[in-house]
Amino acid sequence: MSKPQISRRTFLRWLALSGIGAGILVIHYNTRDVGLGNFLRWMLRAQVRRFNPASVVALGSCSSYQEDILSHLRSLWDQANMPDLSGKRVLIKTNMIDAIEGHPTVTNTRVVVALVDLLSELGVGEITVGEGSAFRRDTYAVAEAVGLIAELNARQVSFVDLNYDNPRPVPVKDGWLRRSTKLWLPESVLEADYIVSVPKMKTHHWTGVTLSLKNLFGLIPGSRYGWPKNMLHINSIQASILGIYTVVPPVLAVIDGIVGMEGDGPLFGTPVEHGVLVVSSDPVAADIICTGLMGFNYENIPHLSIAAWAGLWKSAHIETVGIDPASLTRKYRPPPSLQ
Amino acid sequence: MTSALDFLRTSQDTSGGWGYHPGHFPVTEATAAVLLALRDQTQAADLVESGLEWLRSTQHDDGGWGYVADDEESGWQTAWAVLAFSKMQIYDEYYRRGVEWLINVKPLGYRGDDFSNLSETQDTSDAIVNSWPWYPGEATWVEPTSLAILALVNEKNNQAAVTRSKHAVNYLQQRRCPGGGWNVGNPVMFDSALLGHAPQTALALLALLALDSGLYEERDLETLRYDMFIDGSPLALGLGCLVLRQLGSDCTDAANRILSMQKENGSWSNNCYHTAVVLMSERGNL
Repeated sequence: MSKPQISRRTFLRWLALSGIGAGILVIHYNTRDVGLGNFLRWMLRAQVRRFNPASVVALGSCSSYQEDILSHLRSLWDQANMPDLSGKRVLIKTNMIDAIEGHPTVTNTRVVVALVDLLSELGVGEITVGEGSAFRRDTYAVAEAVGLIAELNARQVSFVDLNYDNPRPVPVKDGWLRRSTKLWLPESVLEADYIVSVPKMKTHHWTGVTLSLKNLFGLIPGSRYGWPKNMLHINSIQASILGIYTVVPPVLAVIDGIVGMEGDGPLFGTPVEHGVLVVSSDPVAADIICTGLMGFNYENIPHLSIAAWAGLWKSAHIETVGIDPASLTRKYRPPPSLQ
Repeated sequence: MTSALDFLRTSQDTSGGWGYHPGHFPVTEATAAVLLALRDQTQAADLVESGLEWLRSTQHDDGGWGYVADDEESGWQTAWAVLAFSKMQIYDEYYRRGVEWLINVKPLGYRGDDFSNLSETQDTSDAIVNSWPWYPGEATWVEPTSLAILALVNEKNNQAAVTRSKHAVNYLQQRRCPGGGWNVGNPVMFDSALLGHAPQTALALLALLALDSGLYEERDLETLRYDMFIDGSPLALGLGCLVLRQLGSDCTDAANRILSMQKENGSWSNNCYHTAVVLMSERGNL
């Protein structure tokens, strides 16, 4: 009986196949939390984004809330090539976790009001301002305390406490919220053509920064998920932020960094006289640029580095227009969790 | 001006429930709160009956209730529904199944099979894992814990309910803010002492008062009296007055402010839940 013989070519073929098989097993093991299919899809999408034209982020200098913020926003809006919103329904998602004296926790009312005025000029069909505080049971009371309700009433623009808006379920998308099949969202969110996320530029103890993506957490109704919307933290706060971003209407970013907050954000940080306003139609790009303006590296902010890796930005290239970012960069004190 | 009762009558959905706002889908929290507010009003007997029917029709097979009728997940809203049945002394099958759901809901970190042999300890981690989450498998928080204590308060012969409520009281004591009162359940965050908020403080105080009038501290009331005006919403002022009236304390300023906030349509905030809380506060009990 002759000895079984394996040719060199067969041996190399088996070796190559074994290597590929082992590689797939390693990738499968390392992506078990997100699923291999999602992992490959996100990676491929990120590569496709490399061929898109650059996302534009407009940076403006505005040293105080007493300045003509409407003029600043008008100019930045033009520079940022924002989409045509005439006749559209727009929800302005402001950032109002709680009003705490001495701490710039909320988006300044003058910025929100200037944006309302700008959108009116642009012929927006219907403007609504909304927020669902994760910390206060009644967001309307916070909006009243910061003078927003009076300003909106004068303009006949309604404010919606998103914690108590009419609820509707939507299927989760893109593989981010793996513990859920659907997400309950307020009708005002789902019926909008666009959401303009208007956060305060500030640090956050769980996510590093609160910018236009993290601000979307306030779209989730506390009356369904409870306060402080902890179910989404359990799901992983990073995945939840991205999961919300993928199911809501297109998000635009207008970021209030005229006075930012450093240190123990989002509630007890200290003011930073930063003097910056940021506008972009790509919230991921806007947040990445703002993270740099705060003196941080976005690659150390998990939800932003994952968003970039997974191609959730519109382009892998970011172009800043307006003021040179180098002249606007500060060194924010990080939150305690990142120190 | 239209009365609050008229507002609630015209806001009731044809299905019998109430949404937070007129024309919205009925939700368990608002429906149960309106039932509690109207339970002693003879002219609202028809509303109460159809509201109860809505609650019965929306109970899940597992005994719990969800956010709205077509939310399949049972959660913290179960405590509201059970509380409504309990306060109306309707101890039917729906009530019993709701009680069982509440007693057996497992929060994050709970490792036992069930709560039937729960023992009494003062252990901190026991208090945490035996209190109540917003949804099964999640962390425990002040508001769902307070609501569950209130919902189970008539279960005096149910050992599991009694023991779990004792752990929950221990949890509330641990989660008290350094300055008194409660917020969502974070008394301290990265060495910063957080302040108590009126709605959660009021609910926690109602829960403690339902079990034993000696469980609260004066600083809790100070926080309540302070934050109900800082918050300034009908919800905060209403819940604050509800507690103060139960304690026989003066709340004239808050009551006057609440009255000044009533809308032309008879509501507070055009919100059925807020309006129900204000009506309960005027009566002085849930």
